[in-house]
Amino acid sequence: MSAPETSSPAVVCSQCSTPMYSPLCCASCGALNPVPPEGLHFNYFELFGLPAAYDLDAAVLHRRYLALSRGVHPDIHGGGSDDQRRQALALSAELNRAYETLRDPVARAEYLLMLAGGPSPAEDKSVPPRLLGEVMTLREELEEAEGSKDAEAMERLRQTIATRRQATMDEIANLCRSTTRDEAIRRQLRKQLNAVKYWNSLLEKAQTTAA
Amino acid sequence: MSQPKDIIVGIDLGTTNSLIAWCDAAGPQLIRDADGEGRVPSVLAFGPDGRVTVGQEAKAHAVEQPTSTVFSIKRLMGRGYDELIASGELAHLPYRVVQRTAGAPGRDIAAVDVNGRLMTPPELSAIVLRELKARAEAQLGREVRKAVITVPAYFDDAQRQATRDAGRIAGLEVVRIINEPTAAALAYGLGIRGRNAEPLVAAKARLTLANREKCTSGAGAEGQSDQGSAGQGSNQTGQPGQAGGARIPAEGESLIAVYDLGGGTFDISILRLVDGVFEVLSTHGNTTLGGDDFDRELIGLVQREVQARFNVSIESPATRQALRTLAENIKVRLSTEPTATIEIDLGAGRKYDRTITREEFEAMIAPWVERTIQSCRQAIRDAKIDGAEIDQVVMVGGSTRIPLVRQRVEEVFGRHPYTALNPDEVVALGAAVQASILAGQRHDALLLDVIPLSLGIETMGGGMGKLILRNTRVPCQATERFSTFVDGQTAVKINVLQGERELAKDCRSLGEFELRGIPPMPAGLPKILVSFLVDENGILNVTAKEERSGQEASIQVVPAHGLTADEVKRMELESYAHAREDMTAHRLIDLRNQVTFDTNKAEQMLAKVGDQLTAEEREAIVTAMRELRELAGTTQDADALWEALRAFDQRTVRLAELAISMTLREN
Repeated sequence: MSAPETSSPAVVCSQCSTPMYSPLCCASCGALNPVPPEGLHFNYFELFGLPAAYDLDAAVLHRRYLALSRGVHPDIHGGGSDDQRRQALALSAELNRAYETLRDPVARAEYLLMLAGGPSPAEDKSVPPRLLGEVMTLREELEEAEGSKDAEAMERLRQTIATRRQATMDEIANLCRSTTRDEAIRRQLRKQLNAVKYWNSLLEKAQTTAA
Repeated sequence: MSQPKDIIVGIDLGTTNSLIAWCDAAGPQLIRDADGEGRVPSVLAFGPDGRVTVGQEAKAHAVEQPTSTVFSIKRLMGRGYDELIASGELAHLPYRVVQRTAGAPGRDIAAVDVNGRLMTPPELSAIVLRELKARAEAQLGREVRKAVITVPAYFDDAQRQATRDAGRIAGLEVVRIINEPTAAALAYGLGIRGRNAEPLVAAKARLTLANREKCTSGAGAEGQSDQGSAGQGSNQTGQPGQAGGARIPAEGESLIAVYDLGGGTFDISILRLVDGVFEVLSTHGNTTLGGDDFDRELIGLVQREVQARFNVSIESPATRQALRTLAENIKVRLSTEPTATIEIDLGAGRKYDRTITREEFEAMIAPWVERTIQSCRQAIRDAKIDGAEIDQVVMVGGSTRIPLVRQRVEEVFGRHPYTALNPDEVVALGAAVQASILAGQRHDALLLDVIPLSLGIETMGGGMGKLILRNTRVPCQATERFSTFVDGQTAVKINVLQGERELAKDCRSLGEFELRGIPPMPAGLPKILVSFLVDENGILNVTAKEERSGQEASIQVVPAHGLTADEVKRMELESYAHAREDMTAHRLIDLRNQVTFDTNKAEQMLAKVGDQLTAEEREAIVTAMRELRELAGTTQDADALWEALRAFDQRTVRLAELAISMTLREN
């Protein structure tokens, strides 16, 4: 792992003309990329020099996130001009958002779906058939177990919910790996992403009641 | 290696004690007094003459002057009076807290009534800060204008703003607010050299300035490792095996939990340390839980038992202060001894004599400790790690000396807590390290922190619409579009909230943000893009833009529980000088008002009953009145004015008596 995994960058630093591997800041001279007045619109994968794919190496992402943070975090530019500090703040916020998006598998899938053209959660709120019934039954069982303080039942339910959530995540991963040109696949992905929200909130409930 | 022009100090502004530290090439160090004590009690005593004392001296006065001795100010920071009443906080304070009514309606701001003068918590904290600043200046022989101030990680926006305001009022530029557990982690510097637990503080001492390095871009870092890693810690720690620029892989990484239980606040933060980057994964806590609550349990016990045994109520402010000191001592003793004895002489041969065992004390505080353990569990879940993965548990804050606390923490994390540095001093030292990073003196460490509580806006129907979730890394930004409901509407109000609950009323309102200057258009047509930017301090900045016209909309902020920018500025101007002079200035103002009042009253009395005095007596009073007014208009000497006022009052005693008897006859 010694070479960047992308092809050589096309962008060069405006200050020192060194090729820039990330559009945030220059690795060579430390200059920050100017923030355009209309705001930042980076492709998050490009920002980290990663291919736009669901499967990514979390360790590489994390390492690059830390290295980029060393370039743009406001504390590094504490002695700079007001303008530099403002830029560092904006770039740092963008970097954090990009990292949080790519790091989390659900957010990453959501982002890939957006790049592929949607639909967005607002455009399509549908969920897979039978999901709501299943979620409702499990929620009732959870409340019952909680009411009777049945720790064993709560743990069993927590595991069931975790397994069901994982199955949805597996489905999401598979769909993300398929061609995103196919609108039917994108619709399916949308449904599964909508479904995982239900599983997340149910799992959260199961975890807090278990604790 | 010249010193930077402006020194930046690190300050731990604590509930019970405050400390100030600074960093030079040898590392961070505390400013200590002649006895080697770095802790300054966060206690203020206001004398009847307007003099204010800070620290140990003030603490000593607490029992004599219970209503004018102010402590635990931190528990009031950024909070409203109504909130404090609702939480029961005020019942425990011997001094008087009131609603501050000045300013816009709808705001809920607490103030302390100090001998008739209302002072907000930031103004009171500013006096502590000024004392620390003066101590540092005296010792360093140079002016101190910039500071990093620590706050509990779980402090919300209003509490952070209040802390920053306190700094400003004290004449300090607060270059950074950092979280206490993060500061502690920085001082400990675990992970920098694996797990040998050598503090960063010592290990890094020789490295300042030597490794000035440009920023490294993420994607390029691995590719250009030979030059890129110089700023990244592995070379700096001087491990020969790590040469060639390869960054320390996963084994250089460690997960640490910082458990910080102070006098009035509790935090748990979970951090990942890798190559000098201190990355906070999650944080949880309670900003009104601490050693104070343990003291209150003991005080309550004594009060109840004395009442039951002797039918004596010991509720007066003075006894409450005395009991507080007593409880503190008992608590401290029970950390090292199995029992502690209380003796209170109630007079008339009544003596309350009681031995408290450690078990008994632990039973009293167990519910509080349990709450901290719940927070630890939540933080572990939020960090998305397994508790067993945590390599080190660091204990911070005086209350972590209590054996029960250590035991419960050990149980929940499954490892022995780490206590190499003084838990009282580690936060200030960490703040000084951060100050040296900001001053550009060192480039080896970087803090990446999170926002402790979700931020959102009130939605239609009183819901909380979250825009930024808790434990999101800062700086962070969220945007939201707003429009108008009425044709030609030029302003929109947004209620900004912080908290985890579903309903707006259950969250804290940070204030009303009013967007103004929207170009008049038909309803629903304007598109106002509001951007909520949380900076590295965890403080919210809101900006807005009307997208159709591209016009920046101005935002008027009325903080729900805080001071406006103008108010802070005014307070800063008012207290420009040192606390003593500040109080003198206020005392002069108060005395001048008194002079006006007393002389006017004397004039009225003269008109009413002056004929009952001799011409000589009348003449003397008129002359004295004129002289006093003159003095009040010219003198800067408060003591002289006070003397003159007292002399005048003496001189008018007979006049006042006559006026009173006249009034009585009239009725």
